Amino acid sequence: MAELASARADRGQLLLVFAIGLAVAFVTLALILNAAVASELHSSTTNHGPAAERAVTTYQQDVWSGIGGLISSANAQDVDEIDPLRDAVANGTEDWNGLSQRQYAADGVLASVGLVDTTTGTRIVQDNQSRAATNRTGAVEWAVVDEPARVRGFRMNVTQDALATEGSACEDCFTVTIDANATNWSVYVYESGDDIVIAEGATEDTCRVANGSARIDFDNGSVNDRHCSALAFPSTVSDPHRITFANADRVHARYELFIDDDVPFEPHFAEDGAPTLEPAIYSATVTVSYRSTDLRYETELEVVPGGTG
Amino acid sequence: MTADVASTRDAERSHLEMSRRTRFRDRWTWHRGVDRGVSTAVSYVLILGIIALLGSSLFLAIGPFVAGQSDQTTRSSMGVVGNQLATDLQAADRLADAAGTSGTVELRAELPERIGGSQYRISVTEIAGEHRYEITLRSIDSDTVATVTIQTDRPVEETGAIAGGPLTIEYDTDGEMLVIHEA
Repeated sequence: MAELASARADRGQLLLVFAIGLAVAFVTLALILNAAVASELHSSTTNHGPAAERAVTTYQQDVWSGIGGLISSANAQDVDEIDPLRDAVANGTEDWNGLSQRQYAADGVLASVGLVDTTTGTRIVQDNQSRAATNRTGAVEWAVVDEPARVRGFRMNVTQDALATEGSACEDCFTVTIDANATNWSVYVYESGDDIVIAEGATEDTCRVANGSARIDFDNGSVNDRHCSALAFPSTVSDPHRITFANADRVHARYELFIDDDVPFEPHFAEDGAPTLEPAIYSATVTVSYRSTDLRYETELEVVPGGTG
Repeated sequence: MTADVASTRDAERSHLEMSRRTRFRDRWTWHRGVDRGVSTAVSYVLILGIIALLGSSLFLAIGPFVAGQSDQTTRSSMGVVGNQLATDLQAADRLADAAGTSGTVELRAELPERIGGSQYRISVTEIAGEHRYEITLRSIDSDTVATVTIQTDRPVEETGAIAGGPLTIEYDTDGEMLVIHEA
């Protein structure tokens, strides 16, 4: 009987050893699975790179639109000197920086913007809608931008009053020619029935508007706020270029554009009447700095209103 | 006479009964003393053998299974960490685009110091194609390897074996390349 009891105890020990072994194996498996989950969890909670990138991009866009707005606001002032405009941009940038710093500091981010320099330029404007697009002396073919310069904010409101009628070669049509690196793009404006037609010379793309006036935006390629394929210039137009008008007596227009040249060819312009020259801030160069726990980012940015950051 | 016959019959019946009980007791005693002992020993050996066989088979099967799972999990986790580094590198690459050559970009990549309980090393090597790189993570203990391929807009400095853990991805404006180093 003693032997039998001993045998039963041995058998129990063997089972116990196997049970412990099995338990160890299961615990090991659980730990392995836990390690996998922990690793993925770690990655999902610590992968801050793309989020930091989005935050910086958002901040830079904010700087772009904020400082761009300051420049536009400064240029809207009716002053004869450039200094008040410069001061307005400098003071505005400082105020904007203080506000954004406080806002971002709440999230533990040190974000700041500082003005480095402003590029002075000229606003060329004709406010009289009933006047032809001729120069001061009435010349119908003249260079609005005589020397190659960077141009922004080129917008023109035309009415149907004096427009030439559609012709095969459009020789009498009002023409805007953009000359960039010896490559010309010509845009014709004429009437066809009750429509105003905007046509591009090379591709012969056209767009039409029917309500008697057209607001042409050469910056974003739209007419009356709708995309116009005739204004889809190649990207090289952003280089310094000249702008000339031809058959300027065949349109009545209000227009405005900014150039980064502060000494344009003055004989074309008048002190009063149209077209006139006004001092303007063309762009501002700012430093953008963004520091968080995951990212240190600094850059210098030229803010050009109307462009893309 | 009749009483004698009845008495005799009772005596015979009693004797038969006694005899049957004796035989039954003898058989029971014999069975307990010999048959039961043999059965217990055989079944004991049989059960031991079966348990040993099953247990050994179980351990033989479970051992490699657990090891395989461990290896697979480590490789999978390394893939996740490798992809995390790849997304951080590409984020730094895009930020370098925005910052320009005069800008500064320093992005911290919070990678774990151990994967699957083991330390690991990271290397970045260029492969065929413009600005295509292979990020290799190698476990120090188990020699498990995971690779992730990425493409960037600008060069990434090749690195031999950086210890796994928090890293800094920096835009080197002089060389116009992304450099990875330990944080």
